[in-house]
Parts: sequence; structure tokens; C-alpha cells
Amino acid sequence: MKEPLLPANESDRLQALRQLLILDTPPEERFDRIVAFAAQEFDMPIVLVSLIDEHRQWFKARVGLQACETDRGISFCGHAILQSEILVVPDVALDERFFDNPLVTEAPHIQFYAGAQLKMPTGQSIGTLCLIDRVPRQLDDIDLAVLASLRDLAIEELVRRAQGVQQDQEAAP
Amino acid sequence: MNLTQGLSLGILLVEPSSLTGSIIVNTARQLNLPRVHLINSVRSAKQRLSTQNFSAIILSLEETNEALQLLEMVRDRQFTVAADVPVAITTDTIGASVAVRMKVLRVRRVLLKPFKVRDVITTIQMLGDTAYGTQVPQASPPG
Repeated sequence: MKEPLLPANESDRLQALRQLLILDTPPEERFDRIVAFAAQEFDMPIVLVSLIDEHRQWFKARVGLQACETDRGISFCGHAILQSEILVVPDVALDERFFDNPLVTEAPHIQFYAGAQLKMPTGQSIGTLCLIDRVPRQLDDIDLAVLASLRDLAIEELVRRAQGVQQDQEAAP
Repeated sequence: MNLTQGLSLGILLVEPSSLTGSIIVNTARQLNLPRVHLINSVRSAKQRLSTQNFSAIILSLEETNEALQLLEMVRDRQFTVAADVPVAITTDTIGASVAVRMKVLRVRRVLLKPFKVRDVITTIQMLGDTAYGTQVPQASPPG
């Protein structure tokens, strides 16, 4: 297993994430509906909005997974935020980065992963919208375009939420 | 109407779910398909059709009677679009009487809900082929 490297802009990235004031907040319908839609669209057992904190990945929205966070060192999404394109791992058993990862050898027994970066307008990738299956899968061009569209929608909601938080702060006495 | 003119007209999508509609619009754009114009009600679609031409229509039957009436008006040349414009339908269920009306109204494809965005995208590709008698632009991976 290979632990994900830190992005070159890690400090700025963490600052951008924490400015959102979203970590450890309750589930929100605006994100829940996106993961539910993706699970139905792709017939995918696990779909997550995963945010990459300093030492953990924390799930703002999730379908098919009980855990609300895992260590960053074993996260697939930690690798995904390093790429400019959607990270697709069609068969985890064939990928040296992941084949012996605890998330593969133990529950939830990941065999397929696709993660689309949540890149904020300021340029920092704070997490992913990711699809996970327990069997190997392939995504074609239409699948990738649908995933990218759902990712874009998640980013829009993150931006809208941040604007709401800022307005609330400004309105506070 | 040549291919370039046809592609620039775009496709009218009447879909009450803003989430589903926006994902379809964005996905079509990512795949370089003809532009999809999203409208969330039959009433708004009538207004748009009064002033704008489209190369194809994808119409939700959620407002069943209003939607079928709209389609009859299209076939009766009451709008700017061509009377033989290719049409696809989305619907929860389809009864015998509605099926007969859709056949008369020359509906090319019926998508039963809950459909997948993928199904709508392939329908857009199919309607594009039908409208122009040629292939729509090749899909390219999203950036």
C-alpha cells in the first residue's frame, strides 16, 4: 500500500477547507441528495462526499457506509485530490497503491473506486465525490461526464453553503 | 436546415426535477452534445416554443394532459418548431390510451422513471441523429 502524498499547496488547501466551517457538521439534504442520486444512477453500493482533513477523511454525505471518517493515510480520496482528472481504479487488486489497503482487505472490501475532485473556485481540492463498489467496474465516457456533473453540483453547493455561513456571521451581533 | 444550424438550435428538455434536469444539461455540455434548454413546466415550455426553434424535444408527462396537448399543438404547427420535430417522452407509467395517443403523435422514445441520466443522454444522441440524418459529435471525456 502507498500512502497518499501531500499536495504542494497543502497548507492553503487545509485553510480553504477549514474556512468552510463544514467539518463535523450534521448531514445536509443538499449533499445527501447528490450521493443518493449517484448511487441510483450508477447502481453503486457506496457513494461519499469525502473531505480531506489533515489526518483524516471525513464524510459530509454518505450512502452505504456506517463510518463517518477514516485515517487519511489509507484513503483513496487522498490520492484522488492529487490528480487533475477523475481518479478511476477499475480493479483495485491490480493496483499496487491499493491492493493491500485495509479498506480492501477488510470491510468495506473496496474493489472499484472513482473519485472526482472537489476543487474550489480558489483552486484548492478539498475532497472528492467518490463511487465505490465491492466488485471491479469500468466507467465509460458518459459515466465520467455524469460523475463530473454531479461533482460540479457538489461544488456549487459547497460554495452556496459557504456564502450562507459568511452571511450568517456578518449578520450576527 | 443544415447540420450546423440544427445543432445550434439545441434540444428542449421539459423536466420538473431541477436536480435531474441540471445534471442532464451539464452532462450534455461535457460531452459536446447539442445544447439542452431546461424548462420545468409545460406552461413555460409553451411560452418558449412560441418564440424559439428547437431540433428535438424531451417532454415529461408528469402533467399528462397538458403535455399531450402541447405535443398536439407542435404537430399542428402552432409553434416555431417544425411539426415533425423528433420527440421523446419521460413518464412514471403509460396506460393503453396514452400509448395510443403517443403513437399518433409520433413519439420516438419513451423513458420510464426512474430513468438514468445515461438513458437521456443516449436519447439526445438518438434524437440528434434522427433530426439531421447524421452522427452527432463524438463524445469526449470530461476535463
